[in-house]
Amino acid sequence: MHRYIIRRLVFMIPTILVITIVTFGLLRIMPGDFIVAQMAEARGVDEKQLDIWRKELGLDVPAPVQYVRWLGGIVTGDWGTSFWQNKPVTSVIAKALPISFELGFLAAVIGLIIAIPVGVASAIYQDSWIDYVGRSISIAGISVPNFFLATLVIIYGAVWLGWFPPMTYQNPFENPWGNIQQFVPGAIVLGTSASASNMRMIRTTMLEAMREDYVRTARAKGLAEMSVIYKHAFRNALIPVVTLLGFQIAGIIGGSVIVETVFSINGIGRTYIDAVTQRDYPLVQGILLILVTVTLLSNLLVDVSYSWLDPRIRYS
Amino acid sequence: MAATQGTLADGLAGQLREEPGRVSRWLKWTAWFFRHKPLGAISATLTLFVFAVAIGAWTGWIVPQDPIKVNGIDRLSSFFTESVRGDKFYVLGTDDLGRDMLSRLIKGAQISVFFAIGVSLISIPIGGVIGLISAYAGGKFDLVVQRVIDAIQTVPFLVLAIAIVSILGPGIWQGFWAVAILSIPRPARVIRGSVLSAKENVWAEAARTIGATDRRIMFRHILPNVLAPMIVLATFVLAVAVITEASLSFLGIGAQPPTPSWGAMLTGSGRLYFETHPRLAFLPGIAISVLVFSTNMFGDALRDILDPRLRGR
Repeated sequence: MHRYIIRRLVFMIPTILVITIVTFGLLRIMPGDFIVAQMAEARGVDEKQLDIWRKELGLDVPAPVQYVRWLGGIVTGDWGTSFWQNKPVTSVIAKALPISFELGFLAAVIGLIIAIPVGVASAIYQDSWIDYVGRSISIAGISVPNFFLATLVIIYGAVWLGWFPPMTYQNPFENPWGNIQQFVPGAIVLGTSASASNMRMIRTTMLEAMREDYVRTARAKGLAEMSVIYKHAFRNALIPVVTLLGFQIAGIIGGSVIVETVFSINGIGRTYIDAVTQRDYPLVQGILLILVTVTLLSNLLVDVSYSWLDPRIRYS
Repeated sequence: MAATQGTLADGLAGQLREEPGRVSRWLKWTAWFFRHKPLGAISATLTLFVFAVAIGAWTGWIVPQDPIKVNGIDRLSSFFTESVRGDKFYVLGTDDLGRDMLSRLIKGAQISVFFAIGVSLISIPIGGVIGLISAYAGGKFDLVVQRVIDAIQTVPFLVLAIAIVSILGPGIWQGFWAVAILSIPRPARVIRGSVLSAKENVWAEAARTIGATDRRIMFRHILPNVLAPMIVLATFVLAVAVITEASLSFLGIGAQPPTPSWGAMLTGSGRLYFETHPRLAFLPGIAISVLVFSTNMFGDALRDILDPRLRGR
């Protein structure tokens, strides 16, 4: 098991390298750079002055050299300085990351609370009206764009409840109520869209589990239907559901870009959008690196917990 | 000569006799589809309806008014109102610039549908061929291709799409290329999986034994056998493309005003006038949801039919 984990960790490195090279290349293909983006409004700025600034920001050397420098910095802990915020990238990320983690965690929990009962009911009563309602809800969750849902929550929250998203970060220990007001509506929107794919997955695994021999055996020996479903089918169907948490992570990260923008939560997603529009290369690169690493690590965690839950699965 | 004409006429008559048979087979299949997968069948109908609207909008037949023409005096008129000058009729009212909502929605359908179809037409064949070759070739090539696909799929779709659009600059075409490129990995992955299991079949072995070339085995023997998952996949690629286009336009980096994209309609006047005129946000929001919903539901039903393991009892 330890060897398996170590091997997986080693295999992460090429994946991360590929992503950083692709994004690094993409960000530098475009005509114009940070300096041009900032100086578009200013008139009469000397070309020489621009070159001095470029040199200060390290943009004067060819892209491959910039990449190697950047990579060296990552390894030694110097992730560069955000062009736009003029702060170390690490500190900008360190400030935004816990905020996104809280949002993502709440969203994942809400997503599972919605997904499990609906998915199970949908499988038990396959092709009945319950199944159709359940599947419609789940597919509606995928189909209703989260920006539409978020807009509805913002507007009707304000109209009916007099709720407005707090503009600054509310610390959960100093101001718990403010923190709830800030995070829960966004987490509900994110959780609803994340729960949709989970519901489908739970329905499928439940359907498969209900056709297994051990379920037939349980029925044959005269167990109550409830007991068959919950003790035999459901528990076994839950194992693949762990992978859902892995699937959710990518969905939640992608969705948080929109939800954080609409609800003005200063997490990673909103920082990312700002950094991208400002062409703040070091910050964009840093955030993408963090996102990729988080996703890969959670995938690994999912695979490991999978074998822990199901002793039949052994990795070598 | 007479003989030739005779056979021609016979052939034609034969075809005519066969034609009702084919039609009735289609009807039978449709009836079966509606009876066993009512939700899927209704969704398929809805999807086709939106597609028909899009084609109609493209030809210009069913757009009642100019969707980007500003009519200052008619701004924010309600459902079923006549314009002040009395020369137009607004079925769904107008937006904050007095533009006809119905026409904008119809034109928006054209943008969404053409975007989605374009993305599918580019990404599925390219991804499919990559997956096919990757699975068939195996070895180092397969390993490298799969690692690159892994890497791209690690980053959430929208996050990378935003990065690419910010590089190309905001606009509908930039968004299109971003989504098209990012949609390639998924078909490649799915097709690779199907091909890996298909190429172990006896008939693939048989084709190899009689000396068929690799290209012939890949495209003539294996490809037709993995088309079913590809069709299901297409519905999901369509849905993701529609929703990503709307998201990019919502964030202001997709279609630019005055282009009537559904996502852009939601974010601009939709949010500004929500309290007094919720219609402006609800109409495009519902339009996106209905299109994505019906495409997903259609795909779901297709998968249930094509995957015998999940077929209902």
